[in-house]
This record gives sequence, structure tokens and C-alpha cells, in this order.
Amino acid sequence: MMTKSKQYAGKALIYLFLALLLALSIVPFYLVIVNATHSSFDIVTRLNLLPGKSVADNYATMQSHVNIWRGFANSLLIAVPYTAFTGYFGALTAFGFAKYRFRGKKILFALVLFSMMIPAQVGIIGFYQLNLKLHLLNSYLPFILPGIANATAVFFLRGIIAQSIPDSMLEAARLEGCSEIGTFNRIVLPCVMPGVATMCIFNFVASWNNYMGPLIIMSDSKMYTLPVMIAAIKGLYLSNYGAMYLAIAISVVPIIVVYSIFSRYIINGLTAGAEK
Amino acid sequence: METAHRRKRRMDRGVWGYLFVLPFFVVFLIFGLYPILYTLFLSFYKWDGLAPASAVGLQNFARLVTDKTFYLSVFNTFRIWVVNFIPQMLSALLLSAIFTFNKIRGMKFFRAAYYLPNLITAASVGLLFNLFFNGDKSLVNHILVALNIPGAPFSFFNSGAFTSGLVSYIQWWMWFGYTTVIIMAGITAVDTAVYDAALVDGATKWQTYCRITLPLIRPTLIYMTITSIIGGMQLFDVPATLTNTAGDPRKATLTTAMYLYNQGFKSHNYGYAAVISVGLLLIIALLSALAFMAMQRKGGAYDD
Amino acid sequence: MKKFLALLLATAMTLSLAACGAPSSGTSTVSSTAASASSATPEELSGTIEIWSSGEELGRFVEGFNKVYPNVKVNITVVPNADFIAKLTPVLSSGQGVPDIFTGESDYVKYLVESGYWDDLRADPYDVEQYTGDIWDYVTSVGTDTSGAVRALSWQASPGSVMYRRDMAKEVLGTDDPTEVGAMLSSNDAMLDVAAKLKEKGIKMFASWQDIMNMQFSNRKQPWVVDNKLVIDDSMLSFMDMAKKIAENGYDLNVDPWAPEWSAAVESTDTFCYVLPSWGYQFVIKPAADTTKGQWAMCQGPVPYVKGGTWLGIYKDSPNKQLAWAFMKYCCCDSEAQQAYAKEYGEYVSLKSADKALAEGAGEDVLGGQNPFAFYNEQMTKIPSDLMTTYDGQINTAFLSATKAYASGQVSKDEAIKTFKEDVATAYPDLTVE
Repeated sequence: MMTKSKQYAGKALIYLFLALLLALSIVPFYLVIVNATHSSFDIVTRLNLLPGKSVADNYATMQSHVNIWRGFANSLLIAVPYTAFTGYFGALTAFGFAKYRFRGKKILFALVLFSMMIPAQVGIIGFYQLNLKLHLLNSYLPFILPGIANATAVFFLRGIIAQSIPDSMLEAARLEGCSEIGTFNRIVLPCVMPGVATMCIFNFVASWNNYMGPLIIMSDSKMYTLPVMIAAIKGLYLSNYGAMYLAIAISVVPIIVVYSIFSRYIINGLTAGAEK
Repeated sequence: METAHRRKRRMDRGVWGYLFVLPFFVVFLIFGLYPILYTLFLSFYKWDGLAPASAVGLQNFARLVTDKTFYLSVFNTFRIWVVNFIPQMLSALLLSAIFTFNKIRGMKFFRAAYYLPNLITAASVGLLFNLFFNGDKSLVNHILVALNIPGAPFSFFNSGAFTSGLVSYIQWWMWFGYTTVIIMAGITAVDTAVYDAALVDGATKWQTYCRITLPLIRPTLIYMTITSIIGGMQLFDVPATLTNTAGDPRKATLTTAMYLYNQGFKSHNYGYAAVISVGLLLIIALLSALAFMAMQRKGGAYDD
Repeated sequence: MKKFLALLLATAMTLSLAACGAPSSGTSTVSSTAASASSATPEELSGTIEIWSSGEELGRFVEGFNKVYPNVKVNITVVPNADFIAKLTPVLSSGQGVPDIFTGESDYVKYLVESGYWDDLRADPYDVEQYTGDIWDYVTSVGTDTSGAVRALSWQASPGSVMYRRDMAKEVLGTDDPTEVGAMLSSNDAMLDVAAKLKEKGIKMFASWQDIMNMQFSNRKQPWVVDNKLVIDDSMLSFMDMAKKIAENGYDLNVDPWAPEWSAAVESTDTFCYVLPSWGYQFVIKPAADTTKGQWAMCQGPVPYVKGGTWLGIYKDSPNKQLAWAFMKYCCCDSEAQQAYAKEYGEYVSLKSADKALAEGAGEDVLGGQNPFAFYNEQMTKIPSDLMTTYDGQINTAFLSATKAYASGQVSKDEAIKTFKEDVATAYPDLTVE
């Protein structure tokens, strides 16, 4: 048994460790936000630790180059449906792999993994040509539809489903007359919500930060997503640093919001099991 | 009659397996396969992006096999990944242990804060950290000089070891929170009755964690390792923005993805860039297979 | 399932092979109305043109352009320079969605010029040879391919200078007059002497030795590649030595260009000069000069030079060639337009007549009354012809890396050169590198 003081010391050490990581995580963010309130000249010439007064100027500069809210809308209109697809179809596909036996399952799953392994840089040219042939250029669809085939989600959720859904539960549902798809929708999906939510957060961020794809596919700058706009703001001679930082700061806010929404579903630790 | 019924049921269920995975593969065949095949086929051609392509058979492959820079880039990428991954895994496991077995005030807040670095684009991060370290009067040098550290100010980006380490640090910084969340999601999936039983039996929290929790979340750990290998070996954004795709100093931070990007979009040698992609694909597949075999165990979740 | 997969694979294979192997399609539409249309009035021309630009400058011409051509709509899409080629390549090779005009930065302009995707402006419906007399030679020559076709022009020219601090010059060198200071910087060794003098007073001469690379390129007698062979001009080798001496003796700030410290040195008390082309004045010195207003001046270094710039050309299969040419003419060949632009934005433009007119105007406050246009006009008469090749992009990068390694003392000069050669061979395996 630990003595009381040892316990306190242990706890103190833990909190110290957590605080250190907290500082490391947050400081760069803080600097981005502070820089967003300074003029480009200030940013390039000195270290800014406290907020400045140039937010309005930076906003004006930013808007004169790009329409940030349009970019915001574009990013949102892509990321939300994409994330929904990855969550639902990821779980559906993972369920198929985890709980059903069919021929070629191993090979197909290996194919799923394999598809993640090829670097994307050269493939982007092929991606362009594909969407050209499908007449999907300059639209949101090339970035939403692939959400149905998100290998990361399938890979992760397969393990989760295999671990946490006992076959007995499925049998019970079937005996009660539940169809296969019904079993999935009403029993499996709610059970793996923490895992699905985790994947959704990750995929939302991935879609939100996707740069190369929208750059190549969107020929019209009105369809540019946020990352492309941020790069365009930077300009050739780095004279728009302030506007760029402001755009970055704006870009991060919705992700934080989405994270807060989804993290409610990620129930932690010991309480989860009780629901079963 | 009962047996036939059960048999029919089992057959029907097999079909359902196909049906459930069908949407994935249909979309994959349309959107995923074309770019992959495009890359594969391009590796047999010589193409500068504008003039017509010419077929060159295995020439690109022959060049790849003897390409010192390619092997150097693979080695760099692997080194950057290892230096990032080990601390990442350890810190995530440690944090998961702390959060699972202790009542920490503000746990949700901590976890959210640790996830934050994952949200920002790698390009912005590269820019930021470049500002921190570049030049005699950069932020970090300012601090070091103020603290009278001997040798300050340092020319950080002249050191290959430092720059490579910085890339690893940035990767750790961006991913340790995510890894923690993933591992905790995995822990959540395990039936808590198992912990309760162990704790009642007198096991310490640490013992419970190591001997019971960890083995039970093996699939999650495998997922984490393999996706980390795949992402880590394809690393491009952070070192590219940090060094302006040059891979300085002296190619210490030249990752394979950066090498192939330069070959394609800067040297206008798309066929060779494609073949580097293929080479990298094979290496990633090999490393993943090795990792998988090392972490797999008889009776594990992937055995069916 | 297997058969289906096989069929799909075959289809995908054929598609991608067709995509790879197909030469750039597109019939060149020779507008038969070209001859008569060139006499159409500006108001009669109507339509929309699409432009992809890596910077924001072209957008600044639109308002003035629309005053002359009210019915031509100009859509400019800014594409980040780092990925300009990445975005352009799939579009050009598929022939669909290509903008009517696209730009090319100096790093890859030769690649685009030689590719033939920009139309030859000597032919109908253009009439570029009317104007080339008034354009500074090197601007046209960079935009000309090896067969003599003029494919690209620019609205700007970027001659270089040494931009120094008058107050420090007076204190250490005894004079701040550009001609006299220029005389003291007449060779690499002379510059190092001045650097030593400045160091005694605690002043660093350069913001970064990397700035000087701009100048050294113009000091070459030969380009990087001759007859498909890599050539290392002596001036580049002496540049490496220069860089090392500067780094060793602490003659610069030990920082990369465009890092905050480098930009901030405009207002510092211990940095003497920047060695930059004309855009350096516009984008680095002028915006930052506050307490140092009036304390700056431009003089010539060891050699006059040009560096950088953005060119633009018209897509060879554009359906709007006339409209595109109207815009291009406005930016690149119209003296009045360029003068108005330069008056507002301070940029050095590509037409001799415009620059001459601007040289008559008042000087700049920041430069203590010196007129940069007058200064640059003189420089432009002295610069050597362009030595740019399509290989410059990667060769310059490799050379900078090698010089950095040598100057910081990490490797010997021979090792640096050896690494440089290896890097060039890797980047361009078709070149002969000894």
C-alpha cells in the first residue's frame, strides 16, 4: 500500500507530465493566433507574444485576395458528407469483414490495406484524368464519394467490431427476426460509436486539410477549399503573412468545434462496458 | 429439416458479407484503382509532362535499383519514422494508462488539447517551426542567448541530425494525441468486467495494464503500427515545407516522397517518379508485413 | 467476380495507356477572321478570358485594361507558385480546361517556352515584332525558344543592384554617393575588403551571402548546360569561395533569405546592404523602411545582373487568342499602361519607353531622392544576355545546397562540388556530367 505522501507525489508527477505535454501542444497554436493579429511586417521582423492590433487589416487583405468564407463553405460542403460516408460505410464494410465468412475475404482485406500504401503524388495526375473522363472536374464529388471506400476506417473498425461484438449478440438479434442490415443499423452501429466517432474526427481533419486534390481538380478559384486559399494568400514574396495566419486561424476553428461534438461519443474507460 | 434451414441461413449470410463490402469495392474500383494503375503504368514510360510519352520498358526500374539517392531517401524516411514512432507509442500508451486507471481532473480537456496539433496542416507547421529556428535571432536562439547557453546562437539548420530530429519531433507533436485517442478507443471496446476482475484479484493498476489491457487491444496496436508505417514512409509535407523541398542540409531530410515529387514536378521526369512510387510501395508492404507478423499471435482477431 | 475484375483492369489499362501515350491533342484553330478582326475597335471585342497566374501582379492591370476594353471579362485564378507546374501539367496534357493565358516563373519559364504550349507571337493574329524594339532585350530573349519563336513576354524586368545604407556608407567609407560606393564594390575581393572595414565597426555587410548568388549568375560566361553537358563556370566556383569567406568571417547575419531576421534587417543598425533585383526594393526594402527612410541607395556591385521575373504566354489552342492578346499587349507592350502601373506600384517594367519616362519623375523618399528607374535604366544597358536553360531550376537548388554545406564548414570544396555533380546527374539523367 502506498503511503499518502507517496500517492500525492505520484499524482503531482502525473499532473506535471500532463501539463508539460499541454504546453508543448498549445504553444504553437497560441503563436498562430497571436500572429494573426499582427501586421505582416511585425510578423517578419520580431517575435510576437501578445496580441496585436492588425486583425482588421489582415482581414481586409485576406478578403481582397480570396473570399475566405466561400472557401470555408467549400471545405465544409466536402468534409461533412465525406465524414458521414467514412463513418457509416467504414463500419458497414468492417462489419462485413469481421463477422461474415466468404471466399476471398483475406485477399480483399489485403487489397484494402494495399490501397493505402501507394504514394499519392504521381497518382494525382491519374486522379485528374479519371475525373475528367467522369465529367466530375471542378465539383465536390471527387472528394465526397471516395469516403465510401475509406481503408483506414475499415481497418480500424474491423478490429473494434471483432473485439467488442460477440457473435451471441448477433444470433440473439437474428432469432428475434432482425434482418442483417437491421442488425447492423440498430445493434452494431450504436455499439461501436466510440470507434466510429474517432474515425470521423480523423477523417474530417484529413478532408479539411486536403490540399493537393482540390488544387488540381478545382479549376475555378471560387471552388477552392481553405488550404488552397491559404497557399494562394501567401503570395510570391511573402508579403501577406498576416493575412495568411488569420486564414489559418479561421481554418482551425471549425475543426475544434467538430472535435468537441464528436468527443462526446468517445466515452472513456470504465463507464463504457456498463452500457452492454 | 432443421439442418437444411441452418445451412441455407449460413449461405445467405455469406452473401450478406459480400453485400456489406460491396459499396467499398465499387467505389474503390472507380476512384481508387485508376490512380494506382496510372502510376504503375507510367513507370514503364518516359514522360516530361508536356511532350508525348515514350515507352522505355524496364529502364526506369533498372535505374531505381542502382540509385543511391533512392536508398538514402528510404533510409532517411525510416530513421525519421522510428525516432518519431517510438516516443509516440510510448507517450500514448503512458497517457492511456494514466487516463484509464486514474481519475484525472480535466481529463477530457487534456485529451482535447493533445489532439489539437493533429488539426493543423503540415504546411503551416513546417512554416512555423522554420520561424522558430532559422537564424541567429530566431525565437529559440533568442531564448538560448538570454539564458547564456554556451555556443548560442546556433545554426540549427546546418545540422542534419538536428533537422531530421526536428522533423521527427514535429511528427510526434502532431500525432501523439491522436494515438492516445485511438488507444483509448480500443481500450473502451474491451469489456471492463475483465479489469474489474483483475483489480479485485489484487493486481496493481500497472500489472493490469501490462498483462491484461495491452494484449487485449492488440488489434488496435497493430492498426496503429501499420498505419504509422504507411503514413511515416510516405512523409512529405513537413520536411518539404521545412526545407523548401530541398531536403537540406545535405539531403538529411530528403524523404522518398520528396525525392519522387522533385523527380516528377521539378525535373519533369514523371516516369521515374512513378517507379519510385512503386519501389516505395513495395518497401512499405514489406515493412507492414514484418510488423504484422511480429505483432500477431495465435488465436488473434485476424486469424479467420 | 474474377472475370469482372479482369475486364475492369483491362479497361483501366487501356484508358491509362491512351492517356499516357496520346500526344497533346487539339487542332490549332486558325481564326480566319484574324486579319480583319485586328482592326476591330476595343469596344467591339467581347468575351471572357481565363488566366492562371502564380502571383497577384497581373490582377492589378485588369481595371486599367477594362477601361480600354470594357467588354472583355478577365478571370484570374491565383495558383500557388510551388505547385504551379503540378496543377498545369495534367490540364495541358489532357487539353481540357486550359486557361487562355498562363504565367511562368523564371525557375521554369524556359521549360514552358521550349514546350511549345505557348503560341508563337510572331505569327497571326499577333504582331509582336511591332513591339519587341521597345522591350528590353533580355525579356524577349528569355521568352524566345531555340528556334527563334517568341512565345512569352513579361510586364516587368528585374535588373539587380546592391542596396546599401547611406548612413553606414558615410561613416565607414566616407561617402554615400552611389557611383563612388559602386566603385568600391567593383570586384569580389573589393567587396570583401569593404566587408572587413565594416566589421571593424561592428557592422555586417550582407543580410545573407545567399543574396549574392543572384548576382553571380550574371557573371557567368557560359550557361549551366552546353551541348547537353554540365558546365560549371569559374564565376560559380569563386562564388563558393566568396560564400565561405563571408560565413567564416561573420560578414552576414547567418540566416536564410525571407526568414524574419533577414527581412527585419532593413531597419537594423548593423546590416549594410542587400543584393537583390528590382523586386527586392519593392517587396523588401520599401515596405519595411520606416526610421531608415532616406537612408537607402542603390549602386552597382561587381557586375550588373538580372534575376527572376514572371513571364506569360497564350495557350496555343486557346479559342480566345485575340482577346488574350489584347490583354497581354496591354500589360507587356503598352507604354501608357505600364507607366500608370509603375507609378502606383513602383515596379520596374519591361518597356524602354515607359522606364525612360518614369526616370524623369521624382526620386524615392526611401532612397534619399534617388530615382530607381534612372538607375535601373543604366543597368539594363550593361547586363549580359540571358544564360537560362530548362535545367536551371534543379541545378540552382543543388548548387545552393552544395555551397551551403561548404560555406558552413561541413564539407570540403571538392566534396561539395562532387555532391553537386551527383545531384545534377540524379535530377537530369540525360545530361552528361563529368
